[in-house]
Amino acid sequence: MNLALAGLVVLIIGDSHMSSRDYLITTLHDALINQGAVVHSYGVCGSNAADWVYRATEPCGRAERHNKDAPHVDAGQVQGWSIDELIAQNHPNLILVELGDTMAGYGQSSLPQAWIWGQVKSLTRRIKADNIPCAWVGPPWGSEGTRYHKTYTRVKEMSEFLSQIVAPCEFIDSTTFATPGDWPTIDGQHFTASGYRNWGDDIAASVVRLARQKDLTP
Amino acid sequence: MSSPSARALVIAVICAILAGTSAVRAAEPQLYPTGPKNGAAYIRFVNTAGEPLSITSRLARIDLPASGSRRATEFRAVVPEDNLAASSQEGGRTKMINLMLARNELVTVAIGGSASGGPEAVVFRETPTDFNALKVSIALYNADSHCANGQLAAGKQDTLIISGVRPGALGRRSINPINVAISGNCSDTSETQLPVNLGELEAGERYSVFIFDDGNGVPQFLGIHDEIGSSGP
Repeated sequence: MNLALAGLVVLIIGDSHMSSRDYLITTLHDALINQGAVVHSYGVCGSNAADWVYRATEPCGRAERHNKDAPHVDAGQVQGWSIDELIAQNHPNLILVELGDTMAGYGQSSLPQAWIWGQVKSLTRRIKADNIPCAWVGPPWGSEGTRYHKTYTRVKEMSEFLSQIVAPCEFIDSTTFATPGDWPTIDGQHFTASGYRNWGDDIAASVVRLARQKDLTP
Repeated sequence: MSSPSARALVIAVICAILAGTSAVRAAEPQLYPTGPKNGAAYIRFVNTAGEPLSITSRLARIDLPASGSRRATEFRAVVPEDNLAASSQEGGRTKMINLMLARNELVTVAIGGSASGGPEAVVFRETPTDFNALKVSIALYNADSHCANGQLAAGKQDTLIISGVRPGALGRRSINPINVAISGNCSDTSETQLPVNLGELEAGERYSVFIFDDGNGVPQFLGIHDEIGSSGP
């Protein structure tokens, strides 16, 4: 079988969408493995981009998963990982960053652009220094009217802003995968199983396209 | 949120230095609450006084030399809508600086004015929206009260990129990341362009140029590479 991502070692880092079983750490991870990639996934609930530079402590758990192993989940207050140590450990030739919801300032009157810029730049600077191809997955629609104060307008605004600032990472726009409200959530941000399955499959399809365009596979 | 008076002594003093590495900056102390939950705003100080000066708050003091990269701090996060108080000292002269920043605002405090008998702060306020990892952003800050028309030009033909910046104001422009010489002057006339050293203009980077009086009525141009601090330890 000719697998599109054969030979690729993918490092995925992300926020709460990557920090629980059956979330992206299962669906996206499996979808990439099914295309032949070796995958190392790490999720830290509540993490912002710079937290992956300074190895921040976060209050709501973390998870990691290595290729075909089961996810290992730590609950409660945890220390995250730094991108430098993860690169040194896993030697990826593609880095996927799934970070958006934690930085979009849901509930605030305006998008905190300067703060997001500082966060994103601190992480992309490290990735750029190692000259590793990367892709940044933007936030999905989720649901409006919940305790996370997520709105479709802000999700779109955040996606457009990230698309301007994540270079040298390519931007994967999750808002193109569905229309608002298509994927049901349990709390406004986190999806039911079908939502994570759809999101993971769509991200993986984007990675396959990217790998072909950029000739990333060895 | 507590009342402004209850937090009136929250201090914004910045120790990070533009020429240092990020790791060095990250090790420098955070002297005030940060974080996005209440929004974020940013402040930096630049010494255009021609003499060493210090900035002192209730919590700490920093020294800004008269020259070199350490004369300017990076932008550091502060809590918006807090009262920020500090004093600037130059020689034996002192002046208070009291500020309150709006959400997402970037404030630059250029401290100069030694010729007029003491430190003078020129405060520049901005909420930029031109963040772009593929472009270069350059800002011109006119801190020279005698410079009626601050402007920047690029290349051998002195193509204007920013013009009409009046004293106390700033102008900003995004350009493509090409390696080109930047120069500035203070006039619409054919006055000689003064070179501005910004180094190689890299995509995704932000640069600032300050016009200030050298104390003898002669405009000076100072170029620096901007850094917006992220929340390190």
